[in-house]
Amino acid sequence: MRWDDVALAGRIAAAADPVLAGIYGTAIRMGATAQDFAVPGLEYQIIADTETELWEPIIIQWDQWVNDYDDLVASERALRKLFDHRLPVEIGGVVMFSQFTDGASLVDAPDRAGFYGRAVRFRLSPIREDLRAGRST
Amino acid sequence: MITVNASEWDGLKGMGEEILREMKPKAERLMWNAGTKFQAALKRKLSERGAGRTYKVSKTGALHVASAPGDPPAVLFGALRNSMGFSRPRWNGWTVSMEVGSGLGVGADGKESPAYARRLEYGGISFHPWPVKIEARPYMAPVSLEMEPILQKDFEAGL
Repeated sequence: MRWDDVALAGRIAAAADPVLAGIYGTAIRMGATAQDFAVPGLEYQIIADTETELWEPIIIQWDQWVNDYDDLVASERALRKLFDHRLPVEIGGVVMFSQFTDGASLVDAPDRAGFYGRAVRFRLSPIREDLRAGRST
Repeated sequence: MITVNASEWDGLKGMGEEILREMKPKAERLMWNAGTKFQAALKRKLSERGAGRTYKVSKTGALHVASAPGDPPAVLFGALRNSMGFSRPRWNGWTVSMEVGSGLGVGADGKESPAYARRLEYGGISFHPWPVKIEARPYMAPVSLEMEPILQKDFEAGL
């Protein structure tokens, strides 16, 4: 089981990113309930995880809630810079493959809503827990 | 610099087309098989019992247990489940592909993808009748991740 390592690594990396910190401040957290919804906010949730012979691919969705379009673009660019790589990378102390999979708008009419929302998904694949020694990378 | 034009090599001319012609039926059979398996997995995923809120859905007072955020959508009338299907295999040179998902099935509503299919997968804000945040109830991504190693083995064994 590695989804907890990967989620923590992702949160640490996002919180340490200057662009994301500038847009969201401290509002970077696990998927909030409807009552806690706030803009701007960056929320992440684990969408799926499984095990293959070697890897434990985990899909994490980041929901970006921002007040203007420029922030949305800057936010997605920063997330892709952090989590979209062709070769394995170390993120928050965990070595894994990390690639963008897809994205979708969360708000159909930003003009009406007064804010923008977009989800982006990344597939993060650390090596399986039972194939590595201890809790290291 | 050395330049080789493969089409001028004796015996190689047209060999690619011949191999492709021979492989095509086998590859298409594999794709149909993959589509059927993927569709079945999606329908199974959309048949799971909900673990969320319980509420009345009809005049008879029948209760429906909705899905909890993060879980796949619980079936109510079955429109989303019935809309699941797959397209015919499509060729682009040496690559064959197929689409699987909502709007490709033979549902009672005439192959329409329910408007809420994407909203359930990703979550978002709904404005009808008032603004409400809807948490994601993913069903495509989990099935895709589950099916990947299975289909990979099928393809390796079949080719």
